[in-house]
Amino acid sequence: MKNMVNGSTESRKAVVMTVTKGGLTQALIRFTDSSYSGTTMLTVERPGKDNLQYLYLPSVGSPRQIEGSDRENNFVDTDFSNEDLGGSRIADYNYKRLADQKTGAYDCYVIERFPKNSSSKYSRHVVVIDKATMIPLNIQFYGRSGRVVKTMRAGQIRNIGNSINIPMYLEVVDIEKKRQTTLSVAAAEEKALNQGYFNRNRMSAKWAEQ
Amino acid sequence: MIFIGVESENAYSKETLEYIKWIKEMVERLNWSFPAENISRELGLTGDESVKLIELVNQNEVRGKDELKSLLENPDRLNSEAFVENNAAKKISNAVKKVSLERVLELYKLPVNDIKSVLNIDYVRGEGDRFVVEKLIDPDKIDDNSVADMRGRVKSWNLYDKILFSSDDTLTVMSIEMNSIDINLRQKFNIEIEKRIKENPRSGLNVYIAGEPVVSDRVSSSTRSDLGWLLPFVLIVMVLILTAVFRHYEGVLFPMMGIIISIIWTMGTMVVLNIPMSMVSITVPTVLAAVASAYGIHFMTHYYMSRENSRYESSMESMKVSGLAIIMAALTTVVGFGSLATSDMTHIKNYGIITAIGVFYSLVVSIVFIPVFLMLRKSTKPHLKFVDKEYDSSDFSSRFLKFLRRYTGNRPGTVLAVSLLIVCLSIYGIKSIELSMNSMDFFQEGSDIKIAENHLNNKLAGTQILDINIESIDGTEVITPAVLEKIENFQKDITSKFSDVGKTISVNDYLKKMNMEMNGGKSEYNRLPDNAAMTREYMLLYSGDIDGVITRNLDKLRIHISIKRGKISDQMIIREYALTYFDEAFRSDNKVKVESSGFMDLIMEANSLIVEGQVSSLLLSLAVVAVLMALIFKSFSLTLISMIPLVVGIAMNFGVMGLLGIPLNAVTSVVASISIGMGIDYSIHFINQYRVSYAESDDIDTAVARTYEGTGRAILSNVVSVTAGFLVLMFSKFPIIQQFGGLIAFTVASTGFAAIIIIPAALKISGRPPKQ
Repeated sequence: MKNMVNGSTESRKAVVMTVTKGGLTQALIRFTDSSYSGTTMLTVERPGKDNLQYLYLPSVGSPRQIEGSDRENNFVDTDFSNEDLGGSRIADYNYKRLADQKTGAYDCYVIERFPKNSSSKYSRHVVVIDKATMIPLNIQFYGRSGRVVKTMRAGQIRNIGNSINIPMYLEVVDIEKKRQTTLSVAAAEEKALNQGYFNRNRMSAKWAEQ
Repeated sequence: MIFIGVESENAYSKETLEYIKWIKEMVERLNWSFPAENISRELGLTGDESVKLIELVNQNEVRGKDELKSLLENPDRLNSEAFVENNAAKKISNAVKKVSLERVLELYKLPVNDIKSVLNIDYVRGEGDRFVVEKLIDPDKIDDNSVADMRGRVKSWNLYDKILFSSDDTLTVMSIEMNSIDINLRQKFNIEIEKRIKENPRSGLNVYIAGEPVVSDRVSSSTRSDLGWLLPFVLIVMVLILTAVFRHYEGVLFPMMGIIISIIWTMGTMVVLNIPMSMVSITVPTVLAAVASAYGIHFMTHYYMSRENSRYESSMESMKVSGLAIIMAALTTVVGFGSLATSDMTHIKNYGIITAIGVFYSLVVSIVFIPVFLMLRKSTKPHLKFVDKEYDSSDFSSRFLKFLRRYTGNRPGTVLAVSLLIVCLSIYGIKSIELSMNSMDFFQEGSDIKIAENHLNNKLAGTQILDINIESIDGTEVITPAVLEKIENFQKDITSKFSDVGKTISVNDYLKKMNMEMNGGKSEYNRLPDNAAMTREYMLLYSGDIDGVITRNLDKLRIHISIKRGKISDQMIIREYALTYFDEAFRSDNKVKVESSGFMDLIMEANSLIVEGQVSSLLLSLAVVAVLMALIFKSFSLTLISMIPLVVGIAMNFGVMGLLGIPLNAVTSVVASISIGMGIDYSIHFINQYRVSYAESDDIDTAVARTYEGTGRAILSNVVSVTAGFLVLMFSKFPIIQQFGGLIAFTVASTGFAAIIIIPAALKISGRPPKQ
């Protein structure tokens, strides 16, 4: 995380595990250093409903289901919103396809999407998607004022096995607050996971992957 | 912060919320369209071009100013890189070059930073193992049920009381946080909001608009209505005075033409220099009318008094006798106003600069245009009665001057002793001068803004916001138990100690609420979390908008203090209390710095600047004027003598302020500096003529007598016209302008009379002939 005004930065390490079953994803993220060490979040995708989110806080001792009315709110103290990190739902937007474009080496689709919710912070997003991997490479978030208020860029797409592609680099810039958060993936692999981890009652358990 | 209060019998009603929603959307729309409109107007671009320019700035501002400048000012790049069509690219780049990138960036800013109302405020609740942060109400589902739910929520958390709703349920308030934008733009924006609300009333709902930006901007906007009639009024007064002095249409017509020309030039210059009309600059035309009349009076008096018959010769003689004095008088006045340019307050600075320019115009007009007008006339020069009967005549001014001549000549010691006594009494009065910059002083009782401010301050926590920031020195977290504990005590202590402190809000209020909600809503948990780790994790859990009280990396806390509007001196005590509460030991133990900020802080700073500015501009103008006098008179004693009336006049100004309880504020503080510039004129005119007369007669008494005969009358007319000009300001609707006008009139008159009373006495006592 970087404050673009005074240049101060802060970094944090985390382990992320995801499984996909029947097209629905469950994700775990745990901070492994800094004062947030041990803080763990579990996100469970549900068909046709909002994601379930649990946050385990070591000092509180038991996980809490967190319900924000707003997926556009930031994920903990980063500039990523919950939506940016996989919480977005197709049904929340109306879409319009724009002309394809080439972004660097990537051949891309460009779509414009408009939030259906009238109290959204945004008037529209312009999303540039890599045709090969279907990963969004660039999103411009237009505020209700009509100005770009936030941008997200992804890069260094890697294939880590069975048609699993992930960007090794994600960057969000909050133009209004002049802050930037970069997510760099140090290592990624596909492997068999202990699915028992994905249980709200076991969020404090130590992981072999840590 | 602008506060818009909506009042009804029951603020928890669908109608109230719908109206709040309408206002919010209206303000938002205005906010979003405002930059494009201003850019279009100021840069002469079409709507589409302005939108394009905004888009270009928006897309490229992160690349830095230099890059943005080189892109926007280069039509080829605009065309090739940003796909702006050729003609539009040329137009945009020319316009940007013309007004400068800085101005474009200023116009580009959105006026509103944030709008907070019942429609978007967070509510926190715990339910079993769920922790929910949601809005008080969904703005898309406003019905009787949801409103009733909302009322329950509001009542359940004390945080909202007096900030969002009044305790008696009749008022809800929306607060609009403004970005720091050009004061003219902000004013325009505020006026538009008020206008639209006024044009769209709802029955049963009263709207109150208040808060510091509205107050300061109203100050400047409603002054315009004053200008509309004060200017014609002062012109009429000048016509009457010139008529009384000269009793001939030429003596009225030419000085009046001079006055009007200088006012027009000055107002034009204001537009060219882009100096906005403010509470103080509103007085510029009136001040110029008064000042410019003086130069005309001196010139015309000496013109008529010339023994020459031809217009040309008389003009030349008048120029010889009074020209130097008029030039010096004008220059010192320019210095007096110009000294305000050292002020740190923009309005005062602008006022000083523009008036100094205006006075210079008056000088040019008086010594160039008036002689030209006179010479262009084909008819013979009229012969005026006062020229013949001057000294021995029975008109009032002649008798008065005769009396002064005798008295000062016979009892110079008494004159000086009495002057000294007046100065001493004034110094005694100075002690009770109060320093105050409450903008509400600007308004008369019963004005909209005063009613709104009073109402909102009565029903809510206060419209004055002071922030205390506690920031880590080394970038670490500041949410340690020691810091939070101290804040907790501070919030309690400051609220109980000062009745004007209506409310304080800090991160503690959120932490306590979360702690309670995390523990089944039990009230015994309405306390701070047990340790720093828990505090930190609570902050992680809170997904709502909390930026106002803590930064996301937890290194800076803010305590909001809402204060009822009152005397600035009382608010400064509150600030002092707050800053010393977090004492040195606390700061070093916790490695934090503690500072105040917020609009109130600015006002308080401005208030201290007044005193500093007052002293420095006063000293500066005194010094410059003294140097000018030394240059003209080339005599230490004459320089000293010329300064005495000034000292007496200024001392009396402050003395009267103290005795009448007129506070020292942004406007009244400039009186002294201005009075120096104008007051010294009388010394100049008097001593200048005295030297000429002494050279002819070689005798002090004769020289003084001739000076009374010659320039005494002009000085008297001058004092009357300037005083009357400033007294016109007492008919302003605004108490502060009344005080300003009254004080200057008083000070200038005192200095003028001091000059024709004290200078002869001092000359007599010093007994030394002037050097030639």
